Amino acid sequence: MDALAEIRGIYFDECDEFTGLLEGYLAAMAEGRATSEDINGAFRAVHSIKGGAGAFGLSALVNFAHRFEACLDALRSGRVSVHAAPIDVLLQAGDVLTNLVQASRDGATLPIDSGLLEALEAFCGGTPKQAVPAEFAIEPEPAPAEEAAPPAPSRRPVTVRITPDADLFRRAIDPRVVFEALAGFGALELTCDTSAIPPLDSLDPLTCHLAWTAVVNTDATPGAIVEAIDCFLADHEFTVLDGSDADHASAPANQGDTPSPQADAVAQPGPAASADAAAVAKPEPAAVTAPGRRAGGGTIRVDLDRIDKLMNLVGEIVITQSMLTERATMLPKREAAVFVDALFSLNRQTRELQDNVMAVRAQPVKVVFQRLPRLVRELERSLGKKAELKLAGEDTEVDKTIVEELADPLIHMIRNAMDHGLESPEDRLAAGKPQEGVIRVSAEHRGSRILISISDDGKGIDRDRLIEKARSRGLIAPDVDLTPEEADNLIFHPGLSTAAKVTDVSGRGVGMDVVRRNVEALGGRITVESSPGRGCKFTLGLPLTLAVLDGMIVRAGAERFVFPLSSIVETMQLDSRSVEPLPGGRSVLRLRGEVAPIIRLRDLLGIRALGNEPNVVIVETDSVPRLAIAVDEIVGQQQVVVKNLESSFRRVEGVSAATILGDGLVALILDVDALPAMTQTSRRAPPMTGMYGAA
Amino acid sequence: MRILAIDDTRTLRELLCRTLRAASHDVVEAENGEEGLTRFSEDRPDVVITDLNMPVLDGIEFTRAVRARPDGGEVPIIILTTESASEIKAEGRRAGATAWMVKPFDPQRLLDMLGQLRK
Repeated sequence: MDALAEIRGIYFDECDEFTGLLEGYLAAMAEGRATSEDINGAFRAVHSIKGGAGAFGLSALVNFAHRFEACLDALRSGRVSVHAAPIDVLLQAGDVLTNLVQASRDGATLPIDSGLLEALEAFCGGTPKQAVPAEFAIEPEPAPAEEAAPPAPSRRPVTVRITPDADLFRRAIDPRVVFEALAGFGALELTCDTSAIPPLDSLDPLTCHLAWTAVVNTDATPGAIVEAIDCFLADHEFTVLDGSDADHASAPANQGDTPSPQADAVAQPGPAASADAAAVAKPEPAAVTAPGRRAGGGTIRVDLDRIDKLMNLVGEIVITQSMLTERATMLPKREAAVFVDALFSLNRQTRELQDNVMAVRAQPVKVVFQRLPRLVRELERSLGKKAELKLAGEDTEVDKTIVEELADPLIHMIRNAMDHGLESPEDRLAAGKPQEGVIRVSAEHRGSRILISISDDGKGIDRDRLIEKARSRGLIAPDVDLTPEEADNLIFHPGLSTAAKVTDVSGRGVGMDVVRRNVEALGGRITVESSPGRGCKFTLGLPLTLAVLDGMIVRAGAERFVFPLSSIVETMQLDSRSVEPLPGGRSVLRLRGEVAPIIRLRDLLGIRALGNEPNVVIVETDSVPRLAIAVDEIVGQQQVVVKNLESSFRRVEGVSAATILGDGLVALILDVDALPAMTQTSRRAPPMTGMYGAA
Repeated sequence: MRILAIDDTRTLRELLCRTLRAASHDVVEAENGEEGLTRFSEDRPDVVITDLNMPVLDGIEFTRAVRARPDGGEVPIIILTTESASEIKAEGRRAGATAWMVKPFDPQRLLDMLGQLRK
């Protein structure tokens, strides 16, 4: 698909939007409740369809949209009263326009009822105020207009009188622009009329008091000259007098009842256009597959705000429900049984409600993925590299907000992969690889997360360079040896870009660190795997939704915390015989022949101990496949509503958000992927006393 | 040259931006006049190319608003529109539009015009 075809695709998608909007506006008119905003909106929708159709040379669509637009313009300007107008004509025109868009998309033709065309013309009072501009064809149709045109004039003087309005300079225009445009036609002789300049004391330098007479010696038609300057000057600000008959051509060439050749061209539908109109008017049922409504029909547009409100309400219901569950324990046994039954149904229904609301907000990642092929092609050109983009899992659905936030990181990473990852075709051949590199982008669901990976088969991360750079900037001590993984992870360090020179494509210093920050702000995580000479793979893990989460509630000391259920592998009693101490105060848990690092939540978060820690939660994290976390008690499992902590407090390491539990108290939701790093470094969170439990 | 491109139709904006970027211009986009004004203050374009019929703030109102700014007098504003009626054109001029071009535009002509305005 070439670039134009792609934009064409976008255009038709947009047309669907416009026809949808149009339907709403027309319905408002039909019901007699249309405001001027509705009429304007309808006009703009049709106008936009026309504009794009012109750009793609869809003349049948341009023609019809133009007539339709003229009617709406008549309503808009008040020339036709909306109350007196035959709205059914507009409704019919709206349907025809929708069908025409469909037909144009499929490359089909569609006959248009000539009765409707007449009705549209009658609507705006006879002929449309301006016939279809002939210039709408994207490529000038093999213009029979030229056949009719007089033979090209020979070289002769053409006089152009320029009498600009006094406000010329306020339009940020330099008259020399006009003179240069004229000089393009041939030798130019210019005289300036300064007679209107007032005495110096009353001179406003911003007011134009000048007029010019330009004589061009040219073989160009007056029409061509008008065309060259009428984009800068209003019609009444200049006249073009063909030298050969300048003597009797005292009437301005482009004013009033003597239209300029340019105006002529505009006023008469090109023969191509009228031929088209004829084709349109002639019923040709055989050529048509009635497009009708698109399959799946029956859609309405809903403001995103409304869905968000709905989602919030669902969140509140989830909280109320957990409160009820909490209260149920206080009831006498017999009543509690009945109550719990009802609660169970409520639980199921709430979840269903929530899934359905979420489905409304879900969008396939295709929305973002489809922008990538073009990006890759453009980068291929600007970087002189060859790459094939392979997409997978485009239909994976995820919350709209996530889809939107996905675009920037994804584009950035593709740029990186093209710029720094893939080698030039020559280098690839020398390395025994196919000339064309491969970039894979895939999406899949994993639990309650979506995983998006971007991999290339380029040269991988240049670890030595990264380490060298980090050392030279004092980011790591000279004597510290990094594991390959640690070295690769330096790529997320602010201000470390391995690009030898700053290119237009990437390497402006805002690099993967920004991507990581953005992804983490969404509750996501990004990891990198690289093997030198073979390529590099970035994996983004993002939550499917930002609103609700299945959680397991645990207690550490007197505080409760929530683990996202999706990251929990299992829970068990902590058997002290399976714990083996390691040098340096750490210990590991032996787990069916494997070992898992063990951390004590109390120690990690600096919480005062109350009794021992008899339970352990085994979680899966991005960096450590099994991490054992010892806690005081496993309280239970429930859905929690995610409340952003950053907006009301600040970002806290190891904590992704907060929630309100059934008893009305706040609990923090742990960011399990951040926990291993907190144990490995001394970046332990400050004592958290007083930070929570403050609902 | 930094160019601010304002059009509410994504397709046309895309076509325009592509043309301009292909000619190595630095392009800033906006969806309507209001966003255009914000971009104008923040990105300080050398030239503005704007559509006429747009929601929120249309091309003429945008042009007027730019010309009313102390720093808005010298920046050429090209109106790129399907409208070619002379009364609308005249209104555009009165608002302070530098040039008028009818859509669909001939990319080369637009680039030529930019070249002329730049001098």
